[in-house]
Amino acid sequence: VRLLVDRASGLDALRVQALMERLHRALTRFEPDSELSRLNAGAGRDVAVSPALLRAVRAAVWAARASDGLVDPTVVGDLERAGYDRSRDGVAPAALAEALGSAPPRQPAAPRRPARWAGISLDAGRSEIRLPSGVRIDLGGSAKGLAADLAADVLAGHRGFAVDAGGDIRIGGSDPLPRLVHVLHPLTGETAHSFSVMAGAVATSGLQTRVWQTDEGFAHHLIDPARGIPAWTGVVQATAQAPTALAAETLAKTALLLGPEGGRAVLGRYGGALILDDGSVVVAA
Amino acid sequence: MSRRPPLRVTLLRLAATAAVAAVLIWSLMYLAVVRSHAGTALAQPSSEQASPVDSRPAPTPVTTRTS
Repeated sequence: VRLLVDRASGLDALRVQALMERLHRALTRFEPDSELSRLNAGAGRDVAVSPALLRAVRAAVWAARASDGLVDPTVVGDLERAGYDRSRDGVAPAALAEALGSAPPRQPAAPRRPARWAGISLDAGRSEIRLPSGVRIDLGGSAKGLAADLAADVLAGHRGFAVDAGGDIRIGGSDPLPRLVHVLHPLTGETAHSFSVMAGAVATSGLQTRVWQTDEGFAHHLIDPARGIPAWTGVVQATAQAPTALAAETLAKTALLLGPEGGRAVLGRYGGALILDDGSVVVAA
Repeated sequence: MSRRPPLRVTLLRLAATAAVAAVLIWSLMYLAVVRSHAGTALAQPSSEQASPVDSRPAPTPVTTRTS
């Protein structure tokens, strides 16, 4: 997490840090004693949850609905079969260009039918969640977007701020100035495009940092829900602008999963940029 | 031979002329001040018009990235 504010405020920085640590502890699927792991273990029955987990699961269901099921939190089994069964923080990714060279033919991803996420039941009054039997969830990207949005609430009183929660950026303040947001090219490492943002969010979804080699070839963490395997769509990175980080994260992942044509249409609403397999940059205004 | 006006009348005429001149001068000065204030008011921005130049430094750029 990176925090930029217009004046020093150690107290708010500590609040944001505490918030992020609390969310990480509750929402990771890689720690067996995390609250999310306990919820996944209790699939099929009502499980009492904290307000943080309730909010995060609600955000994940919102993302699934907003993307018509493409951003599906229930693909945990598919992720594990693809090799993403432990945290890859600190693990060097495989070479993206090499992975693209041996990837299967490109095609857009599609939602899984029937939608497992639609069976997730939330009871805010009793602070309980029930996952369908046999269903586990991963909160990954949506939790990152939610974290940036919650941090923005803490910082709202500052004249200008930017909070970067793992690449999901929320910008705002009571009297902000336009701030440049750079998008790095995943194949060259150089700046591919820049946005000027006064208030809102920017998020990026891509293959670059979560691609690995398996016995069958290369794999990554963005799953095609309909086929249950990594999606090779012709887009290697999508960046979306939106009013909130949760919305930007959802739009970015949706755009990547839909491929060049559908992705450009999705990003057209608030603006964004796609980087295709051949390295070309497509800006959606 | 013309008859000279009495001293009293001459003094009264001088006083009247001085009074009229004073009124004219004060009127002109008053008009000048009023016009000067009006010009100043037009030249200054209203309180709702913020200075077009914000003296704050440009915010630090940030980089979005996939994680």
